[in-house]
Amino acid sequence: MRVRKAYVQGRFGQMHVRMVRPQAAADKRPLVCFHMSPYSSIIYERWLEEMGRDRLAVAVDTPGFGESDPTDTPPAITDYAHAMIDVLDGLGLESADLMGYHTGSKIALETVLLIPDRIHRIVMVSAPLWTEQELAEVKALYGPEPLSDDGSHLAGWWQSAVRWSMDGRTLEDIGRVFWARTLNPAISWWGHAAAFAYDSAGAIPKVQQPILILNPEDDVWQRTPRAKDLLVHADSRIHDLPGWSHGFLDLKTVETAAIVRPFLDPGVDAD
Amino acid sequence: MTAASVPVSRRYVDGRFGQIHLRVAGPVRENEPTPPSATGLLPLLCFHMSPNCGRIYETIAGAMGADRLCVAPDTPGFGESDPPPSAPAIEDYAAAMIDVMDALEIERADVMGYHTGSETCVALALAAPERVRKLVLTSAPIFTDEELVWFRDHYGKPELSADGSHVAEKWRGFLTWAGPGWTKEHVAVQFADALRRPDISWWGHAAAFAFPMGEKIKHVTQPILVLNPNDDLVEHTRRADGLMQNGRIEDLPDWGHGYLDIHTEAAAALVRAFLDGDQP
Repeated sequence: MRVRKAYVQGRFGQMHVRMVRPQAAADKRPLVCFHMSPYSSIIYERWLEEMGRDRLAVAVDTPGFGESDPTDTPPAITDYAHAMIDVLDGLGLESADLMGYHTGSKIALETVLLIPDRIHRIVMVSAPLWTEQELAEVKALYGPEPLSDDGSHLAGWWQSAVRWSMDGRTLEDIGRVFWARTLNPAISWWGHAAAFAYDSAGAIPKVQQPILILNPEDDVWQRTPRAKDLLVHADSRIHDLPGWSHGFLDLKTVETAAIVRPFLDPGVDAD
Repeated sequence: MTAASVPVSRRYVDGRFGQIHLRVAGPVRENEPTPPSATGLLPLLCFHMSPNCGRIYETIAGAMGADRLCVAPDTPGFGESDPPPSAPAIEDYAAAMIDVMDALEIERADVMGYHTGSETCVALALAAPERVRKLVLTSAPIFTDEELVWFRDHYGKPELSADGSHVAEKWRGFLTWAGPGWTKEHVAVQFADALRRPDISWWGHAAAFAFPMGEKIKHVTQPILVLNPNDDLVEHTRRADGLMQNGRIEDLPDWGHGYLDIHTEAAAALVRAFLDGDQP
């Protein structure tokens, strides 16, 4: 099934979305996905093809990433969340499930707190909770990125993508999405800055909806289990994915769907 | 000359290879069917170089859009446009650009091209002469057989390295050919597009090097203005002199890659003088 792309008007300008609509009429709720920083909705391309078999599956470029217009100044996660609500409105989605990846999982949390009546279930890829010292360290790591003359800044970004990729992810797999990491370098650190300023530990206990946290063995996997005691709903849980890391949505697409579908569609037999 | 600039919006239309992504600026409202604008000036279509995408025209589209509809599509397989099913010829790109004209209900237009995009302009002018009025080409390269061997080798399918040296090398190449005044920050805005789809991004160059520009440009009857900045194709472009029925070359020795961003108003003035001048 082919991904279709479109623009929706949001408060910060045009919002770019990737979508797969199922061929038959779908009775399942739409799934709307938010990406990690920097990158874009391109990371969900194969995931949308899978989930779009039985529901409308959407992935949105966060403002300032991919093809979505940027905010004028560095935003907070709540600004991103408001922009995502603009997308839900623009697509006419009265209710939806949300999925987020790293920064995107924080946007999902904030969105559900803003419009709790419209969001039913949330899938988060990682929910890192930081100690103050760790936070200071990651903030120092992810600030504005100077551009080199010799391209070493780009080589460094590529090496980082390779280092944190799961086994089996090829250079071609990385090459398919890497460009999105290099877009708009003057402002692409805004996503991380917003994420590190967001109080996930304060937000998670306020969410009354079921949350499924997928915890692959990536750069933040040791920080995510701290969220366990903050989960409110009886269906909420953390699902560890040892041996999986960045790229799992492409390499383990069907396996991930087999975990996510029963969570999103309780009471429906897996096909 | 109009010094104003208008907002550039982005949208998709459907073409024979799938969705085609466009940057659009003009005195008419976004997402409306787009007949020749209220100013009576023909729309201007802009075709980009390989790899890259319509983003290279973002600034000048805003300037040209002040008095006419200006459309910069991403060539199929580049930017956000869906790719053809297999490596295309320049004529296939031109056919997709006719799909853009049809989707926007543009009967006739002026066209502007940059490197590979210049060849698409020529192919389009030959395939649909009644729909193309004038051509503005940034570089009109005529290659010798020896040069083609080197270019094909140099612009083939990129090898991906584990250490990212292929990305760093591409960056250094971009900086090498950045024209005067084009900073690293400028280059970085365009650079990401050159990294897209490394599996097929060489198709644009392959199509360009298979297109016999010298033979084709001879048959174009429409007026042609060739802009020849001091970039990697400056010498190859001089060979177009004398081949055109109705064209001339304007050498721009002080400009290089990036001139559309840096010398936007001056470039727009050159283009307007040619498009809106007396020549039919």
